[in-house]
Amino acid sequence: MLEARGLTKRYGALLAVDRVDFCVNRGEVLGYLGPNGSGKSTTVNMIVGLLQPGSGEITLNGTKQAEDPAAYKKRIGYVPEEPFLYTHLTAPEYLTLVGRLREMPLEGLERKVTELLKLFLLWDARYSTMAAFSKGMRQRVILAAALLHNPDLLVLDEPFSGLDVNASLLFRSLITMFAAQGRMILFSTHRFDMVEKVCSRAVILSKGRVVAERTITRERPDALEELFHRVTDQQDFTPVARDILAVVQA
Amino acid sequence: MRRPAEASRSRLLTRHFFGALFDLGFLTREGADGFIRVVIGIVAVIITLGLWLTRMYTIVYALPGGVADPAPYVSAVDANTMTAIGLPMWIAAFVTVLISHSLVPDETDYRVLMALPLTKAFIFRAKLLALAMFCALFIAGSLLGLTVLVIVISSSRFAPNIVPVSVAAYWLVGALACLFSVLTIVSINGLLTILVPRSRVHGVTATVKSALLAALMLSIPSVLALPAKAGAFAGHSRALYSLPPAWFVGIERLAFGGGDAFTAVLGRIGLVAFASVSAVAATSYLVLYRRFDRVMLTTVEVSRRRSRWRGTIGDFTLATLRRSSLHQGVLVAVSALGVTLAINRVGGQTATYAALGAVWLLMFFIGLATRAAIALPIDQRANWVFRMTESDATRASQLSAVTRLMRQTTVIVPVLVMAPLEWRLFGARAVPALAMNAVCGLLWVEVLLRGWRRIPFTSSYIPGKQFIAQTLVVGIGTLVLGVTIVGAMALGAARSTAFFLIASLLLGTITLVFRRTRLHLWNNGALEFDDKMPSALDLNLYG
Repeated sequence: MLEARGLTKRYGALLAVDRVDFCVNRGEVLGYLGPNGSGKSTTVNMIVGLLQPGSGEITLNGTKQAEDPAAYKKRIGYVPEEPFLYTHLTAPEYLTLVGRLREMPLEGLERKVTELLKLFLLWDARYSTMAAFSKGMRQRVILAAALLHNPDLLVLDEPFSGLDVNASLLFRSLITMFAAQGRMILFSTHRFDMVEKVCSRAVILSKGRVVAERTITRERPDALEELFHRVTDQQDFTPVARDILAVVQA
Repeated sequence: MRRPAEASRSRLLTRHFFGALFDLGFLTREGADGFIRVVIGIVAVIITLGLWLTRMYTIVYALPGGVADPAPYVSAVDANTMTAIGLPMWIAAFVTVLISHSLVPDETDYRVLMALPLTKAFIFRAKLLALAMFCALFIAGSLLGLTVLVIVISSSRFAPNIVPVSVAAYWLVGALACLFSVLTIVSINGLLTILVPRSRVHGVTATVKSALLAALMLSIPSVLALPAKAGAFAGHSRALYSLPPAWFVGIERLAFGGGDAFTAVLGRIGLVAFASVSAVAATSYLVLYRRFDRVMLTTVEVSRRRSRWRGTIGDFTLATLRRSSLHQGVLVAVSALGVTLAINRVGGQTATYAALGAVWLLMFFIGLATRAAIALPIDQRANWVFRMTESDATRASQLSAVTRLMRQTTVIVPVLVMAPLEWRLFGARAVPALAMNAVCGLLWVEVLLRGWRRIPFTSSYIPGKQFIAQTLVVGIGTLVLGVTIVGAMALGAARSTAFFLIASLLLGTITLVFRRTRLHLWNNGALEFDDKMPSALDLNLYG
């Protein structure tokens, strides 16, 4: 189980994340929802170990992040919001680099890289550097890299941006089946439709604090969106849209 | 006639392209500030050197007041005019090579701008204008800087024209010569982009860019030796037929008078060469305009060979050095400077022990080049993968790839290069001399790696963290002292086994102390991903 207790992060005077508590159980996909600037990415960066929490504690299956960060990070796979990768490398080179950084044995790694490239439909582009890849292709490379070492926890930060329809469907199936194997998935997004389709529970964040937590039910598809608008003080954007059109047409 | 609105849009786009040429892309905001400090420092050094050169020439031309035979001075005027033309030509070529990746609009330009109501011709025109302005800035700067020198030369009673005519001729022909340099680089790039198979274009152009940078560095002694070509002018040497600056002296004499049959031949060669590169550059630019897909295509096919014996970081480092023109360029250009100075030192004195100091010139510049190349970032935001996998257990072994690379380039390459020369000097005694060279190189590697905690290419970079003058004084001091000391050490090692053993023991001990400190840092300190300015706190000003 992943447990975050009292997570707090401050940037100077700005309190980005304020005493956030949540947990992700085995076999669960937790949706982490929030408007822009609510502290989603800061939380994700703390969970994956890219950012040190100001205070609070993160535990994964009993291993405290602060006590053994290397062992903790070994069990995490991460798909960042933007597919930042070394575009002068080819996809096999990048995956091999990641696998070797994760201390995977070279023999098994080569086989795994080959299989993943074929399954993610990247095999034909194996001799091209990733500079020529579309955003969707790069996203697929990042997902393959995140899964390469068979992690216990998969942290996804807006993984569907830039993906085509087929890749999105593949991602969805993969997330569901991965969780069904008893793994944990933290799915940070602002897309209600995706959360409702793949998550079993959702936590809503606003201004750095957890303001709601809800188990997803398929019976009322719009329930999450209604809750989100209510707890995050979202304004009604209809008048703003009307004003924008008025300015454009003036 | 163009409408005012279109002219305004054109100005705007040209300004955008012009500004982008100064944006190095890989620097953070702090890094960009640091780069400006470095540029200001370099300009100050160039101005100082220019003033020094002018003073030197003023003294030289003040001498021949009452000489009987003016012939040597007439030739000297030709040679010095060639120098005044050759230096800006070199600068123009260097600047053009640096920006050769931006000679045509790139994929981002194309995708962003073609979505707007702008034609391809409009975008290309703005890009070309921006490039012309960028090159003109450096050309005008260098011509202006050397105008005082031209005035000094032209004030001589042996000059072919009066001062105002000489200055006008210099500006006109100098600009033409610089344009020749620019067009030559454009032609080479254009031809490569058109003729090389599409999947190899980026790789080949990156390699050729590094080769051109190396060639320019290696040509520095030839450029600096141009004033010594007075004899070649006097003797109507055919060697001048292959020297581009000499062609433009010929063109100047053809256009403004004061020449002879020999300079007329030089001028005609220059005109033909200029016409040829102009035609090739224009044709290749036109072809690229029509076949823009060749430029747009960023596909790079890579070698299908894979290595098993190199480590993770070693593979990553070599792949980056092979494929990134920036990193390759820095490594090759700075190393070539060392090779240039080493060749210059060895040249003509292979039988003397003075040549032994050349090994230090190689070690000094190749070491600095390697360190600078791996310090520069690539896709810096992609470094999260290294942040996420960092651990105390693997950090030192990952960083050992840096030590390996530094030792290979900074110690092994120079020692292998110097081996034949030292063998010729000492026979079998060259072995301890070369070993002494290696010990000095290993110490230099440890000095260069003091405080280093970075996986190559993953940390941000701030240039000019120290005062430029201070850096130059320390750098030149180390270079000059090193040449003497390392040369003397090799000589001592070749002559006396006792000296070799004692000196090796001493330097080896210092190296081991440095190594121990480095390994302690690597085992206990986290990796560094952000370059920092040295803070006042480091100076212990606050107790």
